[in-house]
Amino acid sequence: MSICKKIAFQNFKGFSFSDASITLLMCFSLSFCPPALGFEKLELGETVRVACLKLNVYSMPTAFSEITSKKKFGSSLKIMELLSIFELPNSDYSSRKKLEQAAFRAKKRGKSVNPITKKDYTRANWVLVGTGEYVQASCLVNENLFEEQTEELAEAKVIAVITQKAKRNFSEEEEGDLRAMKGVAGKALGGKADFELIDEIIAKTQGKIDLQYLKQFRKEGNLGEFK
Amino acid sequence: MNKQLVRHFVIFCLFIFSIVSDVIAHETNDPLKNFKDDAFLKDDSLEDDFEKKMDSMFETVKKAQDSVANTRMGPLDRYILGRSLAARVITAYKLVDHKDDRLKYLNAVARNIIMASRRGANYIEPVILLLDEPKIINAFAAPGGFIFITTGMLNFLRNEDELAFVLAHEVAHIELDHGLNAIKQNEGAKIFTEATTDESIEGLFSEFRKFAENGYSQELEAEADIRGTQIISSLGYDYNQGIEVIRRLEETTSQTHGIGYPKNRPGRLKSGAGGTTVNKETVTLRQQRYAKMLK
Repeated sequence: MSICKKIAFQNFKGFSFSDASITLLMCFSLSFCPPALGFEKLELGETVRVACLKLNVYSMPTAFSEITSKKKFGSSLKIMELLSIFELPNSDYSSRKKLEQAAFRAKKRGKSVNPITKKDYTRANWVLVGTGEYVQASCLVNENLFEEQTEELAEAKVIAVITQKAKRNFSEEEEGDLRAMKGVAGKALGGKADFELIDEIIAKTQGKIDLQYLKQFRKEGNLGEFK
Repeated sequence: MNKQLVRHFVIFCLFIFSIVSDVIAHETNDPLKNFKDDAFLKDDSLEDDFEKKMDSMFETVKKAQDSVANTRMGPLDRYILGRSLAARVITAYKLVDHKDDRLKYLNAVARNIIMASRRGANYIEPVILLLDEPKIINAFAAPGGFIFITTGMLNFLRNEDELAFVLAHEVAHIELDHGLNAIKQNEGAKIFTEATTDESIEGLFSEFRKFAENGYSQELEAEADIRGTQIISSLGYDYNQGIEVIRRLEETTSQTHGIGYPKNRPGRLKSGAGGTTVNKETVTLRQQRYAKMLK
């Protein structure tokens, strides 16, 4: 170790960072992080990816219209129009209420605040991706989030959310956590997880949807397009 | 963009200033400051000490960063979370066989509701599970399109419109990401505390599951009531039946999905949801098929 480094270390011997330093570094780091989103913020002209196993393409911006084709996981789609715009609920971190509260707090601290626009707290439910081709927005993600849509990363993210001690790069210990999640019996009511059974159930329910039966069901009950 | 860069620069400068202040304060208070000798120069434990402190600080910062990044979930993340919860739910309750006729009917009602919601498209097709629990009146949902309803709830409900309201309320919780918000709020409180080592993964999943099964906060339940009403109204169901089922659920003391509901739920729905009223004949028509399929 060099003398310079030693001297530097001496200065840090017994040294503790103040709360202010940690808070400021955190603010600096978090300002580069994407915000937590319940609904993806999609932009007109943006190219997005399909993050569902399959995504129905409809002839109109409603799930009760004709399905014209299907897009597979990973397909790239260009957003031509954003439709069925809705306001985010108050509980959402990007809702008008939450944004106004944040702006109020910032102003109180004497910070300059960008004006809140409707675009900040609204999202699209439907997206036009081609001539007469509409898809629901809930399966569309931008390139960055799509890169995280792998089972391994998703499992790690879920554990991180649940345990609140996340790390992006997985250590051997965390791989152990993944195994533990799948196999360890818990103490809570019905805490034991049966992944084999749930996967069996999921497999039995997939691809069984009879759209004609659903349509007939709506027709008989005066629902959806027949209301 | 320029404003953002300026903001980053200012925060960074403040951080550097703060660190320098910490160092000066430390040097002023440290009686051994500037003490350097051969022993010190050979002491490698100083490096460990410094690295530990740096690691500790960056660990705290990283936790904060990850708490934000990890709650940004895509369809696959939601499915994995829902599957993990569902894998635990199915060991807590008895399941009705997937070939049961009631499931075909339930699937039709639930899938139409999901299609009418803003999460009509999920990573996989929706999974609707009927729990063979006649004494439990409950319905709940997990992210990714997992919906659970007990036979006790089916016996309690009087018609399809009531069933639609109950299912739409659960779909609304999923659509609005209430489970993740609950976690995130909890996370915010815990961010600076070390996770306890005896907190098992199962225990934490159990906590999350309790949100879904027992209800969320009053604010979130009110939101789900209103959004659920909007969903069924857009589909053509009668929201008055939702008010009726709320009234009866509130009267029923044995029901388990009752923690955190706001006061005067029916009144809030009448004033805030913009629900539509449907003629009696249509409700009766659907009531008949409900009775035929479920009783």
